[in-house]
Amino acid sequence: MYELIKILNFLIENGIFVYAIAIFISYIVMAILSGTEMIRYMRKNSFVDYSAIISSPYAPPVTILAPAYNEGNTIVENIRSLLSIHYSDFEVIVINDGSKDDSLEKIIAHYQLEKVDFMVNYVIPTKPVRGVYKSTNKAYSKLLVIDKENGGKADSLNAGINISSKKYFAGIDVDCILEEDAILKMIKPILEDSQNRVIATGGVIRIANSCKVKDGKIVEINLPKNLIARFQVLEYTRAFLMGRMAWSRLNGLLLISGAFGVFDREIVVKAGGYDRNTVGEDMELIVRMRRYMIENELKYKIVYIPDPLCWTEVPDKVRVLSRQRNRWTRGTMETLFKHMTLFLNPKYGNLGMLGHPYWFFFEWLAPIIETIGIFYFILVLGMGNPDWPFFFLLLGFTYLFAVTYSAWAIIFEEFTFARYRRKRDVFRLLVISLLEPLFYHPLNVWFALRGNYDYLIGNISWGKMEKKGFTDKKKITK
Amino acid sequence: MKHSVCIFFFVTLLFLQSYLTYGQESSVFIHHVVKSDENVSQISKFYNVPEDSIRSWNSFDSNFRILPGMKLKIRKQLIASNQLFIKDKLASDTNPVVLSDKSDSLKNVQSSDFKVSASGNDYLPLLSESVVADNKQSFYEIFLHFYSKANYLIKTILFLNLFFLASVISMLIVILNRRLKDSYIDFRRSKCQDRYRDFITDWLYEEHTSFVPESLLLELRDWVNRDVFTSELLSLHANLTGDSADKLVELFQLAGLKKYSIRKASHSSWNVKAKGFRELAQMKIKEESKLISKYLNSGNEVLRIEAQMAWIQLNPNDPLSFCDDPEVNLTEWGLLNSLVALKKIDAVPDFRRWLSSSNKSVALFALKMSGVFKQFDNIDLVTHRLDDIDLDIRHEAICALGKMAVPSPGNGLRQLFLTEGSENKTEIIRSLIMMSDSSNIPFFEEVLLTETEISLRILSARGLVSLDSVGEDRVNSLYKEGDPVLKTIIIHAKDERI
Repeated sequence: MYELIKILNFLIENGIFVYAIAIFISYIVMAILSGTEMIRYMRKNSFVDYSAIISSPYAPPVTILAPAYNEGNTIVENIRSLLSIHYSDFEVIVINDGSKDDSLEKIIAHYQLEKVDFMVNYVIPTKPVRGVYKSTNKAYSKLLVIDKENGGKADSLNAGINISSKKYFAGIDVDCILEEDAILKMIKPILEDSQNRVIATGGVIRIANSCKVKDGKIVEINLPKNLIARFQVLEYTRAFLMGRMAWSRLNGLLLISGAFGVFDREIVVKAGGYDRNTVGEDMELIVRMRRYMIENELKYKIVYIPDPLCWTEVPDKVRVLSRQRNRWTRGTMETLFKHMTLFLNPKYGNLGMLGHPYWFFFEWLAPIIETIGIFYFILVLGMGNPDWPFFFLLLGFTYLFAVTYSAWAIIFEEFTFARYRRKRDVFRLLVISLLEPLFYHPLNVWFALRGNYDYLIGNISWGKMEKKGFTDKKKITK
Repeated sequence: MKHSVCIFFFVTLLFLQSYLTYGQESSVFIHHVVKSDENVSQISKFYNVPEDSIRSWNSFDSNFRILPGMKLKIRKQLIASNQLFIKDKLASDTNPVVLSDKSDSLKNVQSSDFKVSASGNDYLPLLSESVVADNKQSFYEIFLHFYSKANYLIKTILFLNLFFLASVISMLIVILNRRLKDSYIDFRRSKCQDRYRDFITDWLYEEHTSFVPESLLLELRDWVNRDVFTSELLSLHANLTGDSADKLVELFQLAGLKKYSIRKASHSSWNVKAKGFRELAQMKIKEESKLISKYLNSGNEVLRIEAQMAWIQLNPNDPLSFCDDPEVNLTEWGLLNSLVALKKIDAVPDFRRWLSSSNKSVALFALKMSGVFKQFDNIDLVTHRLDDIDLDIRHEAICALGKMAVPSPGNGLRQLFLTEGSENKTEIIRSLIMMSDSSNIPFFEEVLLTETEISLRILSARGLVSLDSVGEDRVNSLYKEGDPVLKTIIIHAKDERI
């Protein structure tokens, strides 16, 4: 028995050691890759004159798809923000996903809409479309509103894709605020690559909590006052500037945030559109698009750009954050298990050998292993006198690594876009990086565990997201 | 996102290690190797521990006889509390006892008699330092002592900890430094910006001598001032044409900025070089075309596009001569930029020259431009490319013919429709609609009635509707005879709001 425990201990000890080393190395490699990619990107785009091209009639046409469900409080403002995008050829399709509030009535009244006889081509199956609306006012000629039966975000996006007529579409959350030149910046990588077909591009999502908004535009960028939201600023900065940039360089991106991404409509349709049976439809679509391209032996790329193009409100309550992270975990699991054939499959290149295994081990499994570690720690604590100096040495190492990694993300932000212009904001972020591993991270682990549990018991709910909206903030500015 | 997870992994790792060693009891106990003629009583006296305890730790009773070479477990804590006693004992004892530990405290006690047997956890002082400390050590001394005794793993971790700590502090300093530097440069910029803007405006609209004041030339030796002056000059120039623009070019030269732009264009960094190209092009420094020409087909796409844009602006008589190079690589993004550059010089070259190019990107460019600038003389060559084996070339040729909106290639397009894929079929119908030719009615009708793809049917119905009364009559009669799907398609096509 003792020998068995000894062997088990040896395996766990070495397994965790290897795992920890692998995760550390992966982060270091990603930081280096992201750094080089960021430098390249910043140099490359430092002298691009977007203003001359932004109005070019030869820029490819783009449809902006914005699904909305019970967004009555903010929908009018949100649509105004979308219509004020600077781009030569675009349309905005708002999909009212069977809202139970007065969203549709408000849009109809404000944008002077009337029903049109639209022949919906259900290229991708969706819930029935009840009506398509266009404005009688020429000023809103770019706006098209779809009213359909409730079917979820993925179903709404599919309905939008069916109706969209442009070559590319941007899927966004209707309550996001886009930078004026967001579409052009997202389209640029598609136009730049003559060797590969760029089938999707993603941009950085930034946090708009406590920012001042006027006429659908961010006019003053502030660090959120709320601590939970502030933690997420650091988390987003790290994830987008240090994580996804590296994956973009490796052409191994598995996720383009559902909050904002540009897609090649033809490939999306051929891949089957968004999966309606998952809560992680954004990640699932990217994986399926990649599979489609690889299985059909088509050269392709998915690109991420570090420009802060889309501003969104994040949960500032633990309860709401819990639901969001729970959903993210379930979405990740659904996608990973659905596409398990990719796992360490060399046929799929970086997707099979890097992307999928990385998400499997370091995104999905990490909180589980971490929890096992904590329980094991408690167990062994009662079985002997711990080696406290070594304990504190390792604790210090991991803590300092976490803080340094976050500090690097702040440096990346500082040397690139430096959106937080106040000195105190940057120092607050540094303080947050000291606190995050102690307070915010354990919360996230707990939410992820709940997500795992909910996945196992078959919970498929989206989870109610409460957002204050930007209308309140607008009032503050007055 | 979950990198902090490592904290817990290492915590776990640490305790696993601790558990392993404790599980083997090697960190709680040390091993005493029994020598010949040694008994439990002697050992207990040596360590100053009860005989019964030794028996208990080693699970034998009083009848059991220990033999030379046997390893007996002796609890460390008890040794630690008795080590001064042991030390004295060792000093007087000639019969060596093999004790197993490497701890600092025991090091003070033993010399060569003690050896490590603790598996895996041999890097930390396991006994209390205070027991043997003759005098109090400083933190630095303790650290040094600890470091000197540590193995490679500990040393590496210690080093990394210090590195991380130093990194965070350095980053803080870097951020502070950058902020201060930025503030200083912003301050300097704001100080001279308005003055330079006024100077340039005066230069433009007031009578002036043909030289720049010496004081300004001196100021412009400083890079911040020069940068502000150049950007002010360039941004104003971008919005001017004719004499006013030429005056600014003159000022650029007289202010001695040309040499700095040339320096930039010759710089080793591609991004500085590209900036230099842009300045030279805008300021029409034609004599530097040769320098720029080296990069017209550069592997660096940004540099290539900047060079091509600069070349277009500096060579208005033959702006696209670089397209003659069969190896040149043009991207869609480059094309957008080239169009902007062509607009600036207000010159439209004849694209016939490149319509038959074997270089795909050049051929695509020429086809697109022929359509954009409606170069009707090129219709034959564009039509010819409808037979190309490359799908993209055919697509661009279809689009170009549509933009030209001349009915003559209609028949070729209709023939092509039968063999093309969905995307090109869509483009063919769009192009035929642009041609507004009533000879397309049977074609549109056939597509409307026989095609399976709804979007193509809708487009064909639109084609019919677009052909004024003749087409509309045909649509109306089809509507009367048609099934519900056809009727919905026709209603959709006729709705001008969509």
